Amino acid sequence: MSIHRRTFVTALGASLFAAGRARARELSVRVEADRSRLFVGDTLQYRVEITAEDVGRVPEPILPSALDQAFEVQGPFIGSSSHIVATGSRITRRETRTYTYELVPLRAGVFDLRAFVPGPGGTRIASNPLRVEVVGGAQAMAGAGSASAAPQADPTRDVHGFPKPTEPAGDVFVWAAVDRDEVYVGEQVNYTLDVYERNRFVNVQIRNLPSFKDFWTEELPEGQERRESVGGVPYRVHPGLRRALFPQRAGDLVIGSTEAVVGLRRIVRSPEVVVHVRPLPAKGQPKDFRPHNVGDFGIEATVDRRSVQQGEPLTLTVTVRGTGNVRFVDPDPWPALDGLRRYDPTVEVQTRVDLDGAGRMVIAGARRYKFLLIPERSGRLSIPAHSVTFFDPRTETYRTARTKPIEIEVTAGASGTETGEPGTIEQEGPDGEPMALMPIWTGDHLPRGRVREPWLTPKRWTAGMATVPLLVLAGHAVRLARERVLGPADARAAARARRMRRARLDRLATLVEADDRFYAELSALLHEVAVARIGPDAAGLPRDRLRRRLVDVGVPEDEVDRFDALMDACDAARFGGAAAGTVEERRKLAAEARELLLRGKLGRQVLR
Amino acid sequence: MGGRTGRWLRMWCLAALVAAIVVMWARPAAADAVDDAMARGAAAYAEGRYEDAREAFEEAASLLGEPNAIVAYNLGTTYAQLGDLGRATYYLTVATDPRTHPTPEIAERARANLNEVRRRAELVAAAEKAQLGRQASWWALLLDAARAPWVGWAALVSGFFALVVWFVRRKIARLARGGLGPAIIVVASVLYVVLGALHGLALRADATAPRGVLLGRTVTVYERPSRHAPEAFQAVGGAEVRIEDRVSGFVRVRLPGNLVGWVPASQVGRLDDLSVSVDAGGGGRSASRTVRAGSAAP
Repeated sequence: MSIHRRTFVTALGASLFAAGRARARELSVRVEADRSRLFVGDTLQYRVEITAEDVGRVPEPILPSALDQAFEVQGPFIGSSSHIVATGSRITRRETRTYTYELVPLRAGVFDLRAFVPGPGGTRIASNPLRVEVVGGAQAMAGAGSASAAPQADPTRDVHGFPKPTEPAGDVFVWAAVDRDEVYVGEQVNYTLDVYERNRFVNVQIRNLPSFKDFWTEELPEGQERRESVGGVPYRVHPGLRRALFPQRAGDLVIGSTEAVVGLRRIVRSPEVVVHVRPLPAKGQPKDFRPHNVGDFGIEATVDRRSVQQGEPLTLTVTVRGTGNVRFVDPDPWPALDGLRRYDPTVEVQTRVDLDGAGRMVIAGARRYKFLLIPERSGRLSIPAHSVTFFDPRTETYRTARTKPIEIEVTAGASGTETGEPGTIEQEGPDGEPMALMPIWTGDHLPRGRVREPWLTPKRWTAGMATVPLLVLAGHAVRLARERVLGPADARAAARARRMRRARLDRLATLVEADDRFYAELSALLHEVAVARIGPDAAGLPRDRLRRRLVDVGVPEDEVDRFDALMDACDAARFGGAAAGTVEERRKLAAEARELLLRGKLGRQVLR
Repeated sequence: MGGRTGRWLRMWCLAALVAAIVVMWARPAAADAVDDAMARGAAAYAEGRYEDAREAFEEAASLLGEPNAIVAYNLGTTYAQLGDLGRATYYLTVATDPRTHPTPEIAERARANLNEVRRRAELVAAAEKAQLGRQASWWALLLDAARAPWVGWAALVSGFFALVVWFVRRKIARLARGGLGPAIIVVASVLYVVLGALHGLALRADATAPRGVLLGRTVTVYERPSRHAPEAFQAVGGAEVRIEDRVSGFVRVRLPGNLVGWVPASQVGRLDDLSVSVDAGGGGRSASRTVRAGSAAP
């Protein structure tokens, strides 16, 4: 019986425990943070997530008491989601609500940030444990500035040496400061401008930045937004601007105040900043010292090759490197080069921001001069040492850095002659270097005239060139037209020749009276007709061959005989010494010739 | 009627007299200002103040309002002293351009200084590994030579000469019988065709891709028409280029040897119309204006 009772009690307890467990599973809370270690003033994202199943209303979280004591809390920012979960035959509604807070630790320590939710019966359901370690003041600033920076011992200055405000000044103020109150002319001093705000303002704008008159300025990295405690009051700090300043003159130089507009109408101003600038010490200052050469510099010189041919260019690179106003650092006058012609250099400047041993931001970099050198004679030539003289403010002394001389081997050029073109006029430039440029025009009155385009413009040239083929085409067109209208040119020429021979034949009648011209004309006409009848190759043939050729082309022999007789008569009258005959005889000859040429085959196609 | 005509005549005479006086007063005033600027420039140049000399010569050029060989020569020589080989090349080339009326002496001096500037540009190219243009092909050299005006004249005269000889031979039968006529026609026709083709191609190249000169000491040539585009190569100022295209403040240039890229229009001086383009705002999308070679410097 006792066993039964004990079993009953045990079962009852187990069932009650199981029921409680089941109830507890319906409501749970979980917390998380974006990091477990941070510094005073930093911002921690703290998230509480409450999950409830089949619960009418999701309860709000109960935050740990540490938040009230050691943190500034902003939020919560609430989000929620819900969904239906099916487990076997059971369907449940699961709702999740998240509460996100921004926590800013106000003091150092290790804090338990476990949260709770109210459970059934006035109980509290605890979240998972969460421990956060907060590291205190100066260490916090060192961590926020630069991991490589040394820990800052002075609590009134930040990691970069800028003084921090010590007294809170309302809910928003603009803080301006320089990292050093006293510097030399040309020595770097850094300026910072930050906006401190107690609350989150929607719109804060900086305007009317100081002009930094009497300073040469270089931009510095602005850093990140941070939290900072001023006199125990936490502020959110917006970095406004940071500048590296290089004072250009001695005296108390004032950097004016800057305005920040908060919201629409509220204006807050930064304090003015005074920098006491000392002149560079006169003791030990070299003659013609460049005032920009303040800092710590070194110099090096290199050539791209040490063995060249005479007249072949080589590049000499002189680099001044160090910390200071690198952009304007000026080496000492270039040394004279023996046997080398030097051209104006190209100059490159590269700057960067470094941290010095105390964590201060310093401008560093290199100013590089590239010279083109032309060896003018062969042999072993030396490029002397180049130097830069500067004032080192740390040691308060003037120092000079030098390169080592560079030897180059110059072999004779292909021609073996000195450089320089014959026939050019060598001038002396103001720096004493030879110039191969012809002198400028230096007349009293400038001749002038209007710009005149050449007559043969491209358009005119194109038109002229096109005219030639167009004229040729036009000539052909005219010829084709004439042939179409008047017939082929050969036929027209043959007809023209026939007309001319016929005219000569007709003219014989008028020459009968003139004995000396009659026979010559008759002989010439007969010969021309015979040649035309045979062809052009008959020109110049003797009489007997002419006869045979006439027979060959189909002229009857009796006509050839008559032709021969007429030619003989003409020859006898012209060359035989015989009497020229009477007019009647000549008239008879003309009639015979007319009969022969107009009626016989001899004159066919060539006379009619 | 006669009285009215006389009155009109007197009024016209009076107006012409006033106009003549205005013109005669105005011309010497301009002339003096130009001569003064040239004298100041020459004095500054003699003292080695090349920047002052440049400003004075540019003032003279601006007063003249159009290119002048002497002003361009002095400007080019001064730019050479200042190390701006691009503008030196450009202005010295302008000084040799027949359109600017160079005297033989000025043209000879300008060519001599051009040679010197070219030599320096070659040295800069060697030292800074920048491009001055590769070796031009024989075809490019041939076209360059064929651009000369005498080639155009020779082609034109040859064509008309062949035409005249052909026509005369056709009309005068006596000349048509053998002789040198056909040979003359053939030679003149060949000259007409060959020289004409070369000169025509050269003119076409000038029209489609005008000649120009890169300004400055060295010029960055980009792969695309943007200052943010990758750099194609560095070119030496004074390199002669062909301007093939223009897009919003950039021009596409081709250096001898087919090196192609984009440069800001303000860094190219055109040789066809003797002008340089000046960016009004310095950016690729900014408006630009064009000035004549003798009227202002970029």
